[in-house]
Amino acid sequence: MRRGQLQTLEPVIIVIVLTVLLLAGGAYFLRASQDDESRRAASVSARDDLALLERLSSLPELACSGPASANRMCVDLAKAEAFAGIIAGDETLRVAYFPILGATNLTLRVLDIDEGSSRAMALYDASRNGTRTRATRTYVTVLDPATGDVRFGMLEIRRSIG
Amino acid sequence: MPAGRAGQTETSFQWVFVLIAGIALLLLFLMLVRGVSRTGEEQATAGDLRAAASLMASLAWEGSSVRNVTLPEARVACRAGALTLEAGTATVGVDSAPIYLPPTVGGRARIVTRDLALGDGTPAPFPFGGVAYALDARTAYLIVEDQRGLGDSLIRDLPDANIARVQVDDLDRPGALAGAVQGTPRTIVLVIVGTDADLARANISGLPATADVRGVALQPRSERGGVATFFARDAGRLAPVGGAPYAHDRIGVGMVIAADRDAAWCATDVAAERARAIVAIAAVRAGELSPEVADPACGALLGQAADLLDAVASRAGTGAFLDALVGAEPDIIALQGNLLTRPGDCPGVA
Repeated sequence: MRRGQLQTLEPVIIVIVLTVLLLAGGAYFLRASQDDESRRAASVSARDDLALLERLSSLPELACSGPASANRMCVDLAKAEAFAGIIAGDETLRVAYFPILGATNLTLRVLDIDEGSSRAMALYDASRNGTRTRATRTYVTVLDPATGDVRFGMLEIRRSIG
Repeated sequence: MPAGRAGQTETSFQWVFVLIAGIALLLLFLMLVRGVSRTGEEQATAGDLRAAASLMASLAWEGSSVRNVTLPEARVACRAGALTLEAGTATVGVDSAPIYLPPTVGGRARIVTRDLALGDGTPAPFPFGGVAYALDARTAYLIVEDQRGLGDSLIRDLPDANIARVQVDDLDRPGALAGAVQGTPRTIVLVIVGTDADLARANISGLPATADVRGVALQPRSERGGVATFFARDAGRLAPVGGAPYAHDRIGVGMVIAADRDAAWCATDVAAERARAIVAIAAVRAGELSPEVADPACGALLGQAADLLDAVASRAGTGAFLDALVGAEPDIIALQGNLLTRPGDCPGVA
């Protein structure tokens, strides 16, 4: 390629290089903003779920009563069973709880450490259909009011994220 | 370029411009990306605050617009801002406030939240939570106030409500309070005074024992537009009226005031629905526990509680349900007292 030809192609090369730079920069910016946005949304949503988990154990529908009420992270097993049974059979009630519990799936797992097993109890389900879900969990104590036994439990929120 | 022919210099200069433009573009993109990150951090901080507020309050109502929750089968709407509770710095909408079985205080539209009791940093001293009232036109109210006319906004907001007023200074006069509540079917006494000293003076224990009177002590906290929100700093300072206090009971710690009747009705319906669910849960729980507990006497009491609560929960209609709840209050309290004072691990009603 002679010098004359190179000088003729120079503006074209400059345009191509600038375009590549612009596209690369644009793609980088777009990806960075998308990542940041999704990270931020996930972070805020996870905090909301944690706050909901905190509230769950102090709702009168689930909270331990009497002297145990001082323990905020205590779930009354009999209340949880009654709540799950009532809300599962009453669509209107499930709708009424939507402002409080949101589009989530709530599960209480009662852990039996001696047996090495656990029992899952679906408390509430108003989750939306989605291919991806995110689970947030917290540990609670579960009081069996019939026997006074206290067990370990885990409250879990599942929420559709996509 | 110091040396070289004119063609070389010309070509190199153009590439220098390209380099400068490229660096400028890269810097621009870097600045944009950094700006987005900073915005994200600020939004995340807002999320932190929101989460913290959520811990205090069941759900924060944001803004003053109408908040609708739309689901395929139902639509729930109460005017946001018309009904709020304050707990510390958090605000809670009544649609999300937990309702509970009544202790020794009552009212037609009672909105109860444990979070309120936690507002001053102390755990809820009773099984379900604190007490608050939606002021409505169906209940009589007696306002005990100081001379600053703090009850004016209530009367302005609810011109049709049955509200009587008495000055805190007049409480020293024998019979003043008794005369004020005479003839009212179910009176909620609102003690609205501005200072701790006045609150200490507002001794309403001189009410006649025969009067169907329930008391709640309130401290004015803020008045915004047509909506007044009150918060009791030390409600326990007043002696409960209308009967012996339940072991875990305190007089109400908060209040919801509806700006208008529609808002009060809306709150009442939402609250009643929640209360009905809680009563139903308590009924099922008591029924399930009745044959399971070791102590037969405890089981029998739980069986009674299950029947009583089930009868209340099954009442159709908001008004009928709330009336049944208020009517069953003494029996529920008595059962709860009997259950909790039994030896062993006899569980309470709820």
